[in-house]
Amino acid sequence: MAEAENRMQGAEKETLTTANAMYPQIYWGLDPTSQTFCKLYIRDVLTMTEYSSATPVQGVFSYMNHPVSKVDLMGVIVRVEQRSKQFLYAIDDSTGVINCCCWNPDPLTVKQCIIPGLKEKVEETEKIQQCKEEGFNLGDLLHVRGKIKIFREQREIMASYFAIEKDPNAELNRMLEVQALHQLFYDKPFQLSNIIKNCNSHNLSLIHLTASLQDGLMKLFEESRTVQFCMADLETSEDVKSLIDQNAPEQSVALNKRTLLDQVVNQLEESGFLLKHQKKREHYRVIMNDVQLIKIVLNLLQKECAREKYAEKGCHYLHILGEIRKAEEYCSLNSNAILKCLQKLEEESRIISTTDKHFASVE
Amino acid sequence: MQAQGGLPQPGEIVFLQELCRSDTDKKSVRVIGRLTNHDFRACSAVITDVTQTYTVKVDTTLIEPFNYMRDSLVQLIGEMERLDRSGDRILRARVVSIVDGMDMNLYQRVVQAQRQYFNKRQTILHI
Repeated sequence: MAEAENRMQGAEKETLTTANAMYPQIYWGLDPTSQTFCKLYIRDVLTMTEYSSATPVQGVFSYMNHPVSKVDLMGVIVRVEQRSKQFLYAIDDSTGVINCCCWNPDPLTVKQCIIPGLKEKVEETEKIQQCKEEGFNLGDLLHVRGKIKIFREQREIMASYFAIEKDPNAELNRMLEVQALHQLFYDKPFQLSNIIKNCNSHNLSLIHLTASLQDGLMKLFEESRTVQFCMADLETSEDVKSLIDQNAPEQSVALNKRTLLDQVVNQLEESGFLLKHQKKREHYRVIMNDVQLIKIVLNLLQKECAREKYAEKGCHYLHILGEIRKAEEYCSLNSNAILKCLQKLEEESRIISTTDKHFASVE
Repeated sequence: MQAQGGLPQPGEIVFLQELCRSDTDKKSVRVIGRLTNHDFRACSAVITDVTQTYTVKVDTTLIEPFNYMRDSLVQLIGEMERLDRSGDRILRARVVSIVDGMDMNLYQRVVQAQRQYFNKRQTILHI
């Protein structure tokens, strides 16, 4: 007891300021209070405001600037209301009174116990269930955990767990625990670490830049119908330079163009738009414009569909991928790329897809 | 103190000696004491402090019949009212629970600590 008192006195020195920022929803998960059952005073549960965010989220409230949706409360039952499938207990913890909606448990279906040791446990659980169905009395100490719901403009707890505490000292321990939690944690504002604050703005803009560059590059390739290119050409090309300047006018001086282009080209390759040339380094083929590859895929599919095995259902695209990889030129083709080829052929009505992964030839 | 529509007021924790001395009426309080002199026909009882110096009369109309054991420690939630005839103050109890086994020393210290904390909180959080 003395230890706890000392700890609380020490923590008081570190408490709060009035200016607490409300963070957008994307950061709420970083605060443990968003996921745990918070042990708050009932007065606070009733007076907390909804967490202000750009898109209002129902059921999330803010204590200081911690996002809170689930609470853990303990109080004396001061009112019991019995309904057909639930009990409504009003609990009082000396700071406030709130309703708790406690659903009647489903009847236990396990009646026969094969293991004798388990029989006692089941009987015990049955007894507890029976008590829950009969309802608790005024004056009992109820421990409840659940989400905060607003029903007819009043706040209620939708209990996911509730139980009677028989030990009167439980309430005293609880009062100590809640006070300590508040002083050590809840009363301190939720702050994002500086790393996140700094990292955020820089990384986001980089992601946007690469995304827009990817789109721009693909458009360029489509328009100019390039089948093959090399990285050096890309760097020196006027069109590409203007593209970068368009998308990041402030940063074009500081940014290393080569690394940026490398990143963009890698991402395009992974998504299946480009293919690395096997013999020449830093050369890439644009798959959409590669007529040769598309012809090869079509011929392969026709040949395979002629076989009895694939006549009805068609070939799985990975099977085609396996066959194509046998050729030296296309051994690094990835699954996204082959899907894109097959989809292009389907658009030209030369093949059809029998399922979302199987394709069959038409001619 | 907050109370939503239809729900009773929360019972603020007070010590028995404070209840005797203070004059405030119609406030919901929660108090612990030993039950002596229970007359269930007249629906009245007397609770005594642990030090046996302070007593408060209790009107038990709303909570009869309850499991009564002589001299057991009870926790009552109710409102203080003033009887017109005798001028005595009486606690009209609406919730009772037997709390035999509660550590009264710990109770004193916890309630004091909680009050200190709430006072500090009010000044800082403006609640």
